Amino acid sequence: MSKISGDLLNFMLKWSGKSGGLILVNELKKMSVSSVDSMTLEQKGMLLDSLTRDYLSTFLGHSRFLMARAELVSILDIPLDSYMVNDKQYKRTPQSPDMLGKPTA
Amino acid sequence: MDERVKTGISGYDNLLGGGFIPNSINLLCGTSGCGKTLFTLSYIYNGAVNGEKSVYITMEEMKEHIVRDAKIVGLDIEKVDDEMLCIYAMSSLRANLINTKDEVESEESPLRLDNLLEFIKINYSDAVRLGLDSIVPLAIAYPDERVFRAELFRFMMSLKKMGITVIFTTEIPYSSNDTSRFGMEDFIADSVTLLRIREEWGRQIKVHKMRGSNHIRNFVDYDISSNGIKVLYK
Repeated sequence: MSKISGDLLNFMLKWSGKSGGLILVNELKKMSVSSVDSMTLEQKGMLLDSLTRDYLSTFLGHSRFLMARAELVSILDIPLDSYMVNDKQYKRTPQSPDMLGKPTA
Repeated sequence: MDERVKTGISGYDNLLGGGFIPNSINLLCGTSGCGKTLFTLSYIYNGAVNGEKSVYITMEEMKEHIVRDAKIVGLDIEKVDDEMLCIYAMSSLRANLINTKDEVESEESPLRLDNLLEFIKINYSDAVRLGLDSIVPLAIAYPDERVFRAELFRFMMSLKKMGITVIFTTEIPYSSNDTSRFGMEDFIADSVTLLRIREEWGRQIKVHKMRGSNHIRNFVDYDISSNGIKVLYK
């Protein structure tokens, strides 16, 4: 197993546990990528987009999402400019200062 | 009075004798459209705004739909710290990534209860409240219903040991008078609440079972509006 395959798999296992491998393989299948090692920069960007959109954003809060995504960018070795340009993920409304007030119900 | 985990739903805590027992498993059952999701979301939301880490796991809705529907009943999820109110939309996984029967039933399937438990331990180990809405789609990972029952029991007991007070939902058919779909959820649960909606009655709620506690045993009306859920019992 190459470094990038191993790192990707470890990343998925770290955040998802045992199901991580299956989710990664299916994401790659969806993109018709047969080898992680020979992915183009465009394919890496697509993998980053789909893993963040279809998976990480479905369970991570904003700060942990950013942390996980930065880790993924580093594993995929995507140049910073490229991923900032494609940064379409995760919009969030700012918190109101009184968010810990007692519920009225 | 002994310590209780308050749902924060107006009138419901009174029916329960003060709220849920800490570290208990609580079943909400009812037909489609009776408000199981909104009850569960209200419980999670009220915990989070009071500083208890709360997790809502939805099997059938997209995250943005949950946020939108909650807002209709006055729960503004986007204003709550998302490290305190966590939503896991497993529906997205089911729609986008886990496709074939083999994948759904495989050892690695995220729908398997042992894998879901591992996921919860990794990501939400410090949760105090958890809502699982609903358990019905999880059964498709188990061709043998007996195995599903055993695994569901193990899963719920593990959540209890983690110190989490759980609500889980199950859907029952319109014609049924049961409080379970798989014939065992109500045995696993420490409390069972039945929601029903009929043209002739409107919306009604009944606490069918509450281990170790006095509770109100009658059907009581409830209402869902832009001000939230109101159980009409003082």
